[in-house]
Amino acid sequence: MDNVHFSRLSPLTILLRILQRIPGLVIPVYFIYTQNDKTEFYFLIISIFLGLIFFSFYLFDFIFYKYLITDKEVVIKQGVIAKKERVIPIEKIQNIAMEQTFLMKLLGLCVLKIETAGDTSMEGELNCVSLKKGNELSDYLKNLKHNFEQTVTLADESIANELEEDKVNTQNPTQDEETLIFELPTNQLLLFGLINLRLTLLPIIFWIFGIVSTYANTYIKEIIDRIEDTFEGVGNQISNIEIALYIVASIILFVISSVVIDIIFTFNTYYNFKLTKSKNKLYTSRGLLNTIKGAIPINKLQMIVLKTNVLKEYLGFYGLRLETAGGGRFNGAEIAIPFAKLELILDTLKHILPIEFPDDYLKISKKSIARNIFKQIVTLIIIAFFLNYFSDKNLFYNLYFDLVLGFITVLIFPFAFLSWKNKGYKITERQVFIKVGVVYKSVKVIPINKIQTLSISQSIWTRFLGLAKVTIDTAATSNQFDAGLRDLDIESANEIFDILSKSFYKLSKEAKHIEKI
Amino acid sequence: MKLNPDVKGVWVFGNIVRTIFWTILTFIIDLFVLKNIDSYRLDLGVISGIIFISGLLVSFVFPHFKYKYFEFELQDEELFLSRGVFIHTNTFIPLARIQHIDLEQSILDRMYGLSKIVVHTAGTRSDELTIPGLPLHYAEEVRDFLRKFIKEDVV
Repeated sequence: MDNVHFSRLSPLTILLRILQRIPGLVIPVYFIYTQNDKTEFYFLIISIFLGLIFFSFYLFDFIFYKYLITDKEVVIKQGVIAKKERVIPIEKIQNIAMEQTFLMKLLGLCVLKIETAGDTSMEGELNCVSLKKGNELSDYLKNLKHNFEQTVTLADESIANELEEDKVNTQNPTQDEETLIFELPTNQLLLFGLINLRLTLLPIIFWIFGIVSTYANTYIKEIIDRIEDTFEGVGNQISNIEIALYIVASIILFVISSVVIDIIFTFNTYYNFKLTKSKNKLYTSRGLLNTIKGAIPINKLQMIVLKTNVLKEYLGFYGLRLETAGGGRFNGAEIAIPFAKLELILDTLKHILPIEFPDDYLKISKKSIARNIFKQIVTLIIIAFFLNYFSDKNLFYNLYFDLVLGFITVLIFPFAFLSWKNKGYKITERQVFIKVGVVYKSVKVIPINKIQTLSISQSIWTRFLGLAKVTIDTAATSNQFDAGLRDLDIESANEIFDILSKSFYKLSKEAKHIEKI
Repeated sequence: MKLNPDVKGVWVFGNIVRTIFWTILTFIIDLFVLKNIDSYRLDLGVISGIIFISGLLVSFVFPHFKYKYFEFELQDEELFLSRGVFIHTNTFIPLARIQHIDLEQSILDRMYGLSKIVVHTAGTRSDELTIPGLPLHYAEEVRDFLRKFIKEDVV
């Protein structure tokens, strides 16, 4: 590439950087100045020296920052000591934004942000160019994108379609017919809140407790002392049964108030929930106090999650969450159906994507149980020793501590078994189904043609056990940690890897074929 | 394909720099914080010494294993990456999924005439798709190959 065609940022950028730096310098300068009044001279020299260093940093940054915008791509070269060169193809650009702070306005500068679907930190940024140049470039890029959109059809599902839709929607909002495909009746809201099993109070209580204990430490101590004084004689009179009753009662009270709060929250959030469908976009609208509206472009769908918990499953109720690419307001995840019977959800899904949920799932390796038990017990031991280290007395001599430890240890075994039993996967021609969860259960559906990358990994420990983990990476942003299959036998992991990569190519060829027609 | 063996030198250097950084940091903490804690019984500089020696050991040994387990394969339609000592990962990246490509050179890389390529997809965990230790001209070739591919695929 010729260096001749590269352009630089506006030279005023250096001035801007220096001006931006000044407010941060005020406080240290003030302190140094007021405390060492005898060393003013040295201070002056040091500050001039530092200033020169900063200036040269900015100068070199400016000199080595070059960009090139052609009709195919944006190239940004930067770095004085560590060099970096970034290439952003025009067709991958999602959005072009111009920003101006007050200082920039004064200097006639602006920041041109070139956003892609990748990580938010990975986008291109021209910081800063002159306002005129910024306008020129953004017009130029938008034009290119516009031309590009007209040539692209089905295959590139991610960007072009959405932009087209947006255009259609802004031009003729009433053109597309919106059909109501799901509505949550108000009488079901009560049931929904009742069996949601969210311990909403727990974080609130911890929060209040945290605030109180930091700001009113001495006050609480006084109260505790007073209580101890009053109950000094009474302590012996209360029997163990009574104490147990008190504990049970407070737990029940806690659960009840938690449920009540949950019902109120649920009412507020999901009141008058409606899911409507236009040509290729879904719209949700909900809320009692604030009406919240969301849009889900169907062809941008990355993952579909069917959620439930033990109680809901027993009564036959499920929820549906759709995840799209890009970190939007809801981190790319949108509740499409908060609460409904399974048949109704499956019926509604027919309007969105034709999906057949499998009846039986393939199991992961049984060694998973042993691995989980081992992992939990090691964690428990570490936590126990950690707690012991930070307490004044030896906790292991404490009967209650030992009882709790024993209780948790006993619980680990059935839980590991249940979590193995509830895990499963199934690969069909077009989708991958992953089932997880003991108390809060979910089935994740990943369309194979949306796979971004596919990984298979083994740690030393899992290699020893002959296990492997397959990670299916999509552009869905909210559920980034568990779109994978842990504890598979290495053979079946390799098999899944092969099947998925093959069907990925099959599907992308199909898409190309459709595009040609 | 294996990486250029020179990359081991880069990693060794980088690790030594990191070791020195941590040694100094722990020494400062030792000097100003831990010394004033009564229940802390170790002598001054013990922790930094341990960190320095073990860090140097790791610095020289680890890059060999890292190199041994790092492989990549650039094919017509996909890129395969295989890496990791303690957690070994094989990754399959369809080239059509690439969003953009970075070519990076740290100061150590430049001493050896090497560079790294970082491939970004729209996926969330793919920041780690880095191929280090490529000679600069080869890295540029790879970059240009990938770049051409993106264009062809979409238009």
